[in-house]
Amino acid sequence: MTSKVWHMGNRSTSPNTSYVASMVELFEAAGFQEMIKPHDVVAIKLHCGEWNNTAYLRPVYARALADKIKSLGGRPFVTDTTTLTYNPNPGRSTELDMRITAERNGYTSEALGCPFIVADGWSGTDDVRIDLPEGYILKEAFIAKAIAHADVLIALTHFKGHPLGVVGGSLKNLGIGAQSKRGKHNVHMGGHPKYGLGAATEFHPERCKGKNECPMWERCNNCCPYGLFHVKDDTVEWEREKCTGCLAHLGVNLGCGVFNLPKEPLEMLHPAIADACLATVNAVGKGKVGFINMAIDISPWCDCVNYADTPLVPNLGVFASQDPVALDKACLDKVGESHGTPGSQAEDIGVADPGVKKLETAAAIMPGMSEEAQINTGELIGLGSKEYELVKVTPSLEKFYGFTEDTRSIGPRFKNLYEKEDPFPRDRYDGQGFKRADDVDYEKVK
Amino acid sequence: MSQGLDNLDAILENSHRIAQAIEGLEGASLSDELQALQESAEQLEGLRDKFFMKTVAAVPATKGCLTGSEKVLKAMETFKDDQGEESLMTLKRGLKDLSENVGELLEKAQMAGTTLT
Repeated sequence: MTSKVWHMGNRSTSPNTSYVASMVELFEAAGFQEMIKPHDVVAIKLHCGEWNNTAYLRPVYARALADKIKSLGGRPFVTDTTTLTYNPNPGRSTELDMRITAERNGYTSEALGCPFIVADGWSGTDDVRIDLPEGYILKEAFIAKAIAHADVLIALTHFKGHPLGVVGGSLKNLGIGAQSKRGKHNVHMGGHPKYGLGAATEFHPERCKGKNECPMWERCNNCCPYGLFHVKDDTVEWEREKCTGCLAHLGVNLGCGVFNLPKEPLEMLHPAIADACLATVNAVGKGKVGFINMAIDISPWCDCVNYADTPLVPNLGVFASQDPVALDKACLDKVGESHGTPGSQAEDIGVADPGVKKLETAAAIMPGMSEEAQINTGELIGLGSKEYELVKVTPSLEKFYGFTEDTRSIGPRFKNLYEKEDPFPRDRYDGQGFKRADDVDYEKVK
Repeated sequence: MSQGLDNLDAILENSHRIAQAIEGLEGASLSDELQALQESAEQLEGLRDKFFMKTVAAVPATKGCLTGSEKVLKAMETFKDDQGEESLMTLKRGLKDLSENVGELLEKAQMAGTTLT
């Protein structure tokens, strides 16, 4: 079956081709307004950006979407979920931390015109368990409650690369982003007897310099929320059988050689993401989930990191579909077709030419990881289709995408104000207003 | 084997050839450079088992060192042929650049601030 993916391109040359207008146009073209009935509670799921990340979506996109949903009678809220403690200084791992980071990144009720809600609650366990017999590896998933209980879900996704997932698209926005913290442990194979970090990590305590020589030993000793690392004078002990796969130690002690990660367990994240995305769609309801990919600022790594590298490729525009598999596949194909950005990781790795796969070569943490595995799994489990028809949407010239608060012409809008306080000082210099030279040589300063 | 490890092998091979060439060199004293090169090679050998070497990030970092080592080998041949002052300066500059490249690689291999999500 072929799914439709609607697309508006990367160039903006008028208000009607702005990325905000494109997003709203595609919302309509893809039929998302048909999903929303008056009084429906509509979750807008996005990534609010880690502390000091700068590639995450600007809040204006969510605002415009919220306004659109309100115009249809819906009750929107913008939402994200607490994260695993995947770096030494996580900024979104509790509701309190996430709200602080989200607000710093501009995700306030004032900016959004609707509430920002942390969907899995204070500590990340406010969720709904979903059975998933059709899952490829996951047989159950834990969906953040505010998302699972929404009447309609719009996944507003920043399409980019991802170190472990390889692709950070719609599948991942829900496959990781809509899972509670509990659910993220599940998707990251926490506790799995074969693929979990505790089981699969190569551990070399003999390489540890210990308290005697390692200046970072305290950081290593304290990196685990369960206290499973015990640095000794000249080695380290790890209670690996208790490891939950929270990822906390990876940001601390991968560089010293004590830990080494095989590729295969990390790759299992890809089918798990597709499974968990399907669980999210099942929780909200088929036909009640719309997907929008903003393929802009396509950084190699995701918005979860505290920085944003030069985009791998130039902006590709906006894409929308009711099929997340087709949507991610369309964006992935466009990334491959594109020239790499000069000076980016794509150029460093030597994959900047058009027609060369860029995410699995320049975004994946390890060579040989697949940029297709999420998508292939998604098709295999019935979430969607890899076959798509790309429908180019022409911007509507009839619609108004200017300032909406007062749409009158300039004359009536400003006449009264200027009569009260004229910004031009007509009473100065015989009506010229300002003191300036009569004539100068512009050629001299060219 | 990853491309980073392939590059590392090639760097170490080139370093070995450079060290041998320096030892057999007439008309120039490069003992400090030789010592620095041998220390670098030892440190690079220590990277072999680190996770970093399996990553995509290791590719450009090792490629920089590999290119640097190839430039030194070329400069070495030129100096052997002409024994000129300018060639010696090019060779010394190449060795200094290689040492800086290795320093950058060793720093990146610490993976400070790397976040896997």
